[in-house]
Amino acid sequence: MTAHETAVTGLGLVTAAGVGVKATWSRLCQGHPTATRDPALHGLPVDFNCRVPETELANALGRGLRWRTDRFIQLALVAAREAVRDARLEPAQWSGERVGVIVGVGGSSYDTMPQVCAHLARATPEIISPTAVPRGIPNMAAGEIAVDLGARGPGMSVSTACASGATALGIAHHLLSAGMCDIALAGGSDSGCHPLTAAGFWRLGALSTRRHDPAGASRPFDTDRDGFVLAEGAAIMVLERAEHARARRVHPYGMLAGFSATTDAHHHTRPHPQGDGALRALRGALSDAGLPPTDIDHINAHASSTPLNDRVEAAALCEVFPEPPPVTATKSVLGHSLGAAGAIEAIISLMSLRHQTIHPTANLDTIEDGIALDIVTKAPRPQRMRAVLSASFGFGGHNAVLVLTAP
Amino acid sequence: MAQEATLATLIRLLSEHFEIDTADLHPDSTFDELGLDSLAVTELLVVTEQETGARLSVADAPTGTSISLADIAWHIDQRRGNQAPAPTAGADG
Repeated sequence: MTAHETAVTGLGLVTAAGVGVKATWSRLCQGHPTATRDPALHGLPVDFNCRVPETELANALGRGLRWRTDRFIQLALVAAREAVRDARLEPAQWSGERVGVIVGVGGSSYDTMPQVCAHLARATPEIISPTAVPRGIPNMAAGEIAVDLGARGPGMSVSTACASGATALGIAHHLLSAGMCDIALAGGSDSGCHPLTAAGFWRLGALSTRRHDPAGASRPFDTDRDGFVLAEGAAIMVLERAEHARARRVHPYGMLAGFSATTDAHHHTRPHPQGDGALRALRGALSDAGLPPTDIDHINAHASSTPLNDRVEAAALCEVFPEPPPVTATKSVLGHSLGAAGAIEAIISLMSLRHQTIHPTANLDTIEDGIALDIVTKAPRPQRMRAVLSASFGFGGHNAVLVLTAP
Repeated sequence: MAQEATLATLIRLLSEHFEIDTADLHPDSTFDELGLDSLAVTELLVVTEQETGARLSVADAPTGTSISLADIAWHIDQRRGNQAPAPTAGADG
């Protein structure tokens, strides 16, 4: 049980659907996948991904940052600024020492590594950019947000691979509960669009190789799925204790009512075959929220579109929820943004609550035999909801589950 | 390379690489005035060396942020005057 309720009062989002929460929510309701061929991946076995539109990002970011920050930092900055504006917070006036920044970053940032390695190979280290380290180390998303907005409280990155964004939100919730800060800018940011990332995940066997049909490649729960589609994005929420939000007279999007983090301790990349860690995280989050399974009105699944994850996840959901509520898979449209995914999906869960609507899962032509879930497809489904569960499962067996409730 | 051409190269690099408006770039603009710190000075020298082949990223490179673009251009020309013809510039990305 948590000592204090955590309210979500601001949202910021950057995905392949565009900059801003509206752009992504709209695209999800259209069910129109964002995966396309990427010229930067030309010649690689997997040459498509979900990229944030370049001009929109540049316009939102402003000038003078790209020479010294990798993409995941740029995305995080844009999302953080939107969230803070959305929460009606004024950095010039807040008590900066009471503002924390907790950003989930799951993948390594490689933006300039090929050039650095080339200089090393030629024994010319003196012409390595001095930005090589600070532009890419994972804490810098939080560090740069802190500089940009004047956040002088606890700051950190959190890393649990594909669960990082969700874990970061949970950690922020506990920091608030513990009184270590009054406002937390929390979420995740990652760019999985670099050739190194694409080659690495391909070699691991994790990616869809549906080159003839990039838009159809991310197809969670579908019988033809063959792996995930890499993406980039950032999602930042403003979290504060409920009484703090009330004092500011802001109406929250919802409450972060429950959080659980568990580890499979089974295999470095494959999930536990009986979903042990997932089951404990699902039950743990419900218990933390003080809700029985029957009180959950919708599940935003991790649903990465890998053969193994979706099958194990579906079985785990059916075990915890005797009659599972409607499910959707956000990655079917946005792809897999690694460390950002869990936070993106938490924001989408809140939008679902706000609009009382579940966005459809794209590309679900034939649900795999044995997956006994009610998955929303084809069109957005109006649904009365008070509580949504959002699940994320990462390499290393790291699981993070959140329960979000209406305000 | 005459100093004007060197200055023109610096202005172009600052504009393209650092996204600074060319209207703000004058020969007597200092790094302080442009809001660029010592990391940026090092970066500019690295990028200029990659572009021109002039060996700038060495011990006697200027490091203070009160220096002007004209100072840097002069320094680059000195370096180029003191060394053998540069190899083909911009060979690596």
